[in-house]
Amino acid sequence: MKKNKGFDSSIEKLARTTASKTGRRGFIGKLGAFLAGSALLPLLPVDRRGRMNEAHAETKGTLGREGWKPQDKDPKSCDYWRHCSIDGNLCDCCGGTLTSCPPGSELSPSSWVASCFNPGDGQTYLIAYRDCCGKQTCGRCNCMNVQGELPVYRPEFNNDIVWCFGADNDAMTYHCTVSPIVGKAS
Amino acid sequence: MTTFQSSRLIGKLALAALLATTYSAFAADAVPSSLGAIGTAKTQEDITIEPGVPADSKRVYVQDPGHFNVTTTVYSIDGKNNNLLGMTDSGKLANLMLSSDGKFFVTSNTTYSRIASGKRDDYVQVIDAQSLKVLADIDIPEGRFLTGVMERLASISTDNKHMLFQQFAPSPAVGLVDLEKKSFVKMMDIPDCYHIFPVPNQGFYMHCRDGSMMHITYDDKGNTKQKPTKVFHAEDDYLFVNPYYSNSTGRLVWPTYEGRVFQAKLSDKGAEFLKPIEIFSDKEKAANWRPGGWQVVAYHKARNEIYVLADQRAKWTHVTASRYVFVIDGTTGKRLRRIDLKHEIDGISVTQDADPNLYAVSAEDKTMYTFNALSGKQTGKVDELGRAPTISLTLDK
Repeated sequence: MKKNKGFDSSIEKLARTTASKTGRRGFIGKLGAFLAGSALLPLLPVDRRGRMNEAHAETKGTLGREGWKPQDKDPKSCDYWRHCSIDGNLCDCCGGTLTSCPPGSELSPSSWVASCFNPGDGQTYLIAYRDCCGKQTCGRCNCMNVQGELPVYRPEFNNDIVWCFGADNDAMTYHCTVSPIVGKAS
Repeated sequence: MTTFQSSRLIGKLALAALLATTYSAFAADAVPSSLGAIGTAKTQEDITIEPGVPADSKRVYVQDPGHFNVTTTVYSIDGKNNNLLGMTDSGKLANLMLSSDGKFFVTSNTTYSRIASGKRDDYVQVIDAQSLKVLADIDIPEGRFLTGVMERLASISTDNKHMLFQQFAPSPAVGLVDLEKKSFVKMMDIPDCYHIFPVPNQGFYMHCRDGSMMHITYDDKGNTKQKPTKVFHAEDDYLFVNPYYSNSTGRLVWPTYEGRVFQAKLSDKGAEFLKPIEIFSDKEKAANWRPGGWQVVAYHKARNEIYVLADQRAKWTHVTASRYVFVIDGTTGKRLRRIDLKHEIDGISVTQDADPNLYAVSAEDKTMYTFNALSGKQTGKVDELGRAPTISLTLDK
């Protein structure tokens, strides 16, 4: 991952300052509002080449000790650039897409964030990972990516948490994760 | 022939009538009357339920949360003989806690009325370590912090009287459960801190976002007093989510992503932070040696040995499995030995006896491998452990 330290640092400082001055619910609510607002941004250039060729979902591109080597061709592979900090199942392999939950599941309004480098356009983007909830864990395309992932005492950057807070019916069971873009990080 | 069939028919009818009077027609678990004599035949050999064996120093419990499955399985294993003794069902991302004497263990659970949705129900169970029977079932508020299993997000107090569990939403809190009275007491408000490290006299420490710890004491009603310690690590010293902690000694051993080990001796009197240890030399760091896995550290108290799961790896691969264990002196940091596990391992633990076992769990292999912790030789294994076992617990004594 190509890290943008300045941007990361700014986001971290913002998160830490906000968290220290507000309650947990307020912090998550504000972050959720920020992310909801970001959905109104114009669609950013995303390379979807190769998606039509993927009819199977055998887990591919799992992270090895050699490190993160992102590609921009196959969103159903763990090494697709947007998935740089997903520790879980890709919704794209579970009946959803990169940005939609599988039918019958519930979208969580809360998320953790990471900045991921897109080798297709050489840009780094902030990704707000959302969990789709209310169903048993999907089990397909199980990825363990941890680019920039911080320990649980920095929860907004931690992907070990079941991020189903605020999902309809308080459905706190994890099903899979989507990888929507918040915006450019550089 | 006809006579024989008639007598058999009469026999079946008589048995059916007997069963009908014995079991309610509406009881879902009743023996079906249609089974007749064959299905309920008396055997020449007695059929029994194993009474189990008491936990000894080699006892190990392996947890399989099945990659965020709605249930977690706890495997009770006799590590001396690599023999599976039994299983315990627990809920989604359940926490497991062992009593100080090894006689019972506690699970904190979350289940749903409709498998993965519906009404949430959180509860605590106390399980007899020998018989695996449920000794107590205690309802708690639906607030357990659901994460990949982190051992110290719930703990038993040092005197085994209380159980404490972490809540994250809607606000940070720690739940207090009275195990003796088998009742929930209170959700105790806490600041932005995580993990629960019990100390004597109804107290515990938590690790806070700014790198300090918070010493919290509580009375029987859950009223707290809180006192922060100094900041003991820098902001960019990222600590793994599963540290080693001993309830009996208060020893905390906590490595970072880059291989620095922070340690503390926690007590009801205060926290003593030890000088950090570097696991790897500068040359090894240049060769990309780093800790990695899910449960990366263990400690042998009497030998003062720290065990760290590690491998050559790129930065930001800290949860990927490792193949080696580095054993270092807990005071000087001197390298004592390196164990080549020859397997992709996610979690390690060691027993506290004089000739300790090292247990190494592999999610990919669904297997627990047993090693002699001193010689580094593999002595056995237990395979077919569920879907993705990642963590193991041994007794504190």
